[in-house]
Amino acid sequence: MASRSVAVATYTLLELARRRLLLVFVLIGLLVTAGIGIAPLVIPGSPTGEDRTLFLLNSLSGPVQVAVQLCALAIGATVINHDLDSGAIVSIFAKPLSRLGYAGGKFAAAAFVLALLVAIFAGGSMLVVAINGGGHMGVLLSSFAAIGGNALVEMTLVMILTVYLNNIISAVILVAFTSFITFIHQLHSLAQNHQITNALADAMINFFYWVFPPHLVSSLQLDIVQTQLRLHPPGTTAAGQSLLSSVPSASSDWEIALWFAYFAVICVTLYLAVRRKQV
Amino acid sequence: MVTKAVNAVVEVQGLHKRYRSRDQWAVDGVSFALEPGQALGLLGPNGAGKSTVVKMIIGLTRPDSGRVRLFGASPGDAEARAKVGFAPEDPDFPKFLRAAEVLDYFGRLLGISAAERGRRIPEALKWANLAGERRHVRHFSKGMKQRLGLAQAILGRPGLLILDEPTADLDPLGRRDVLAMIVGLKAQGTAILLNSHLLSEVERVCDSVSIMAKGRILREGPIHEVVPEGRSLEEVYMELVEATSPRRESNLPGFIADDRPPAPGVTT
Repeated sequence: MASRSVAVATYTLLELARRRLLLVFVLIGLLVTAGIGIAPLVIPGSPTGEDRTLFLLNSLSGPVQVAVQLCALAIGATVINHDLDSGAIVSIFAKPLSRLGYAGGKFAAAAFVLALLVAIFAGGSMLVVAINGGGHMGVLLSSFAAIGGNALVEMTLVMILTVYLNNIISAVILVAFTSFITFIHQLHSLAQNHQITNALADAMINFFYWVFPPHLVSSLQLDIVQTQLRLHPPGTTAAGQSLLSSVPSASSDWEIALWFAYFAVICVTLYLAVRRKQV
Repeated sequence: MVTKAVNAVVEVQGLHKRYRSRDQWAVDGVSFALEPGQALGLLGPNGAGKSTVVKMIIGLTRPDSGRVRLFGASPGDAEARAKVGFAPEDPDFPKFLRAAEVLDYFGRLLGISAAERGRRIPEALKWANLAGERRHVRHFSKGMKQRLGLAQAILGRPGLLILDEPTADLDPLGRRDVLAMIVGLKAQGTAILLNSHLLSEVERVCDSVSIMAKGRILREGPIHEVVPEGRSLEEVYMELVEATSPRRESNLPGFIADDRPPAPGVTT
């Protein structure tokens, strides 16, 4: 079975390598990264020293996260759906290939390409930070691990949806779902910091927080705010504490373990969806 | 017609299938068997259940009841599946791959060694008139996809070749090549299950036929038994199928018969 799964993965990789849309997302992401890196070097009066690093970390996190998410959607929405939509799946499933072998091969190829893209974006961002003086590399790397983990879940979920739905509709549902999860995570962070005091609201937020796959958070944002407070201390300690409490803390070990558990469930669901599919 | 064969390549017994519980049976008690070197034509109008039977044989769809044995094993058995070549109706393939890559991909799925793929793929492409074709499959015409579908179906030197409307999108030369291929494979002991609306082709290459309508087999047997002396397969087919459903009016739609406005410069 393994050799057939490898064949599925190999030719899926070849197909993904020929996808122009994916290339466009990667190029735009890298161009934006390069633009952010060059801007402080050429714009007069730009921040210097550690302030410049903070400016770069702040500026990079948003666009890179969007680029990775777009790539995850582009991969997930097509990797199985193209075979189903075109009817190629009939010829493929007529071969002595198990559904597990097919799902495994597809997932392995998709996950590999996503990991490669995250590595390219991480490398580009670290290079940009390095040529502007460096610093905070460890936390930057951990933020890419979180971005990659979240994108992996999104990609796998959209792969499951495309077994049943049109790929555009699947991608739209996933974007809405991701926005909802992010919102719940922000509310949960506020509740954790006792900024939401209503018991019912707190219970509902907790319910939604634990029932859906955790949204991984790195310590990047917290690190940025802590550094800003160190460099430019506020008038009072209370003001500093207030600022810190509004920043979501990094995912705990327990949340990361739960992420792995949810991810395992999602992978099993992907297999079951492919297994039950009658073509 | 054989319904119970000792050395059957494929044996189908009492197959039933419906897609939703409120639907009529798509396949209603179909049984047949096919031995090495035999060619069976599975005939019937659109919606007769022929493609569903084929999908159950190769394990793409599960029957509600009944049994399929493929080379003595279940359709899910990888070894048995490797001996089946299947050319689906309206075939399609991963759209960003080239013809040679599709064959290499499918050859690997069939478990064919790299050396053997290196020998067979160029020959299969040449037979399918696709040698030297460098475009991706998404740029292929329907005829090219059909030829590629046939090439991938024979790549594993199957013991059972299932052809679903194999010549629908082919030109006359392509059709001739496919019929010659069927005759050649039969001579080598390959069993052929041919699902086609082109009755003249079925008559030329098949030993026996099963005529289906509304999920049931209406008549089956060797062609010389199904088609009496002095009649054609087409006549027998029409008679059987029309007996299961109201005769279709062949009148043209009313708007075709409406008076046309005279063309400019034409006096009536």
